[in-house]
Amino acid sequence: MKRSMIRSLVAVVCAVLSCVSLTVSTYAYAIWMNGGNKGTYIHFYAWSGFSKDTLTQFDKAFDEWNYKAYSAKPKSLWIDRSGNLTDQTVAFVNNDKNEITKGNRGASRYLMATKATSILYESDKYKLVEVDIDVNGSIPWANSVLKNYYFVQNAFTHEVGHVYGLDDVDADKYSESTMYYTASKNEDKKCTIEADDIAGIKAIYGGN
Amino acid sequence: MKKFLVLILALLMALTAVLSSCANQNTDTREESNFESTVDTGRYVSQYSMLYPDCTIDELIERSVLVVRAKHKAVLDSEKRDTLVYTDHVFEVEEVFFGDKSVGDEITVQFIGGVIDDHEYIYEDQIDISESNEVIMILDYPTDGNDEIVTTDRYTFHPPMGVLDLTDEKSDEGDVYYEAYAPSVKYTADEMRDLVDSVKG
Repeated sequence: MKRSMIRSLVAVVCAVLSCVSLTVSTYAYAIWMNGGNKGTYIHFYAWSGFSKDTLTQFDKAFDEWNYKAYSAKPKSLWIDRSGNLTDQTVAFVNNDKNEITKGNRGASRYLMATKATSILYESDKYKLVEVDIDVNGSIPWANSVLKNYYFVQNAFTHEVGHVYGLDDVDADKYSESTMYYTASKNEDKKCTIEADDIAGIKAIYGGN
Repeated sequence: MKKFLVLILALLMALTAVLSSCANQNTDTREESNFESTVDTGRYVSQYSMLYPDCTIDELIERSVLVVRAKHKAVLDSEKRDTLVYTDHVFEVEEVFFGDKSVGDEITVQFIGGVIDDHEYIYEDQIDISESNEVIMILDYPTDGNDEIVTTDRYTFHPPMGVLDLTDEKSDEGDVYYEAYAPSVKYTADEMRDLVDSVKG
């Protein structure tokens, strides 16, 4: 009787612990932009010197987030390029216009970078006024996975994560994440967003 | 026996609750603010975030011109250079691992971010430097888009790994550790000296 009772208890404990381990998840995300971009449509102007193929890479990156994180964000929030171009090559100009620029910034600096400008009008209240993304032209870029080149779509998908309000993650164990803070040549693992990224969007916007 | 079963179930429920509360322990959910759709006035704040080429501390040391242990002394003005806003910080050299400097020399190092005309530029992935901070720095001269040196009057560094901040941790020998922002690698001064010697020859 006692043995059967102990066996039953062990079985119950194992079953409950299995359920708990399934429900407990540790998501790798960090929030960069306080309050995110609630309820807004964010439209980017890309530099006119980008090739058609590169513009397509940008569009794929925007779509990856817009569609895969659809239920996690407000329905009115949509980030895209809409085909409009700009002649701007200087990075991060404060001009109330969301721009994707490109210029030689030096080979030992960043691959791509994002700058978000907000108006802080009370101690903890912001209005996002502008987001710019810069592509470092000193870096070898390719529009597909090529040996010794950085893949445009891979890096740009990471930057779009910032536009949505996510921060970099830097722990080694999250090196497969879209928001990991470094990228390698020939890499394409950032092109697809995963559960971690969507959990981050949910945390910012409160979606499902 | 029933009491025993109830006790076991209660313990399991408590365990479930504790584990569930730990579910988000690896997330950095900085405090969110209310977002308003219309506003006309206020202070401007810009945040930078950068995606870096994958590299190692060894690679940074290999291309550096100066590797030192130093103590923070002063903050100078912010200035827009090239495409970013920087603030210069003055350090006093306490130990030279590599480069043409001596103990007691003052060096100027530019950090991304600063304030210009009440517009604050924040670089998120960087340690906060304040007075008397002791750090190990792996430094280069600033370069332009063609990788030509802009000036030799000040130094720059790779933001996630180029400055290693003093920690409270100590090695088995009692030496203090200095830690990089990301990845979180840490070295004692002796370990850094050995590493620099092995890389620079």
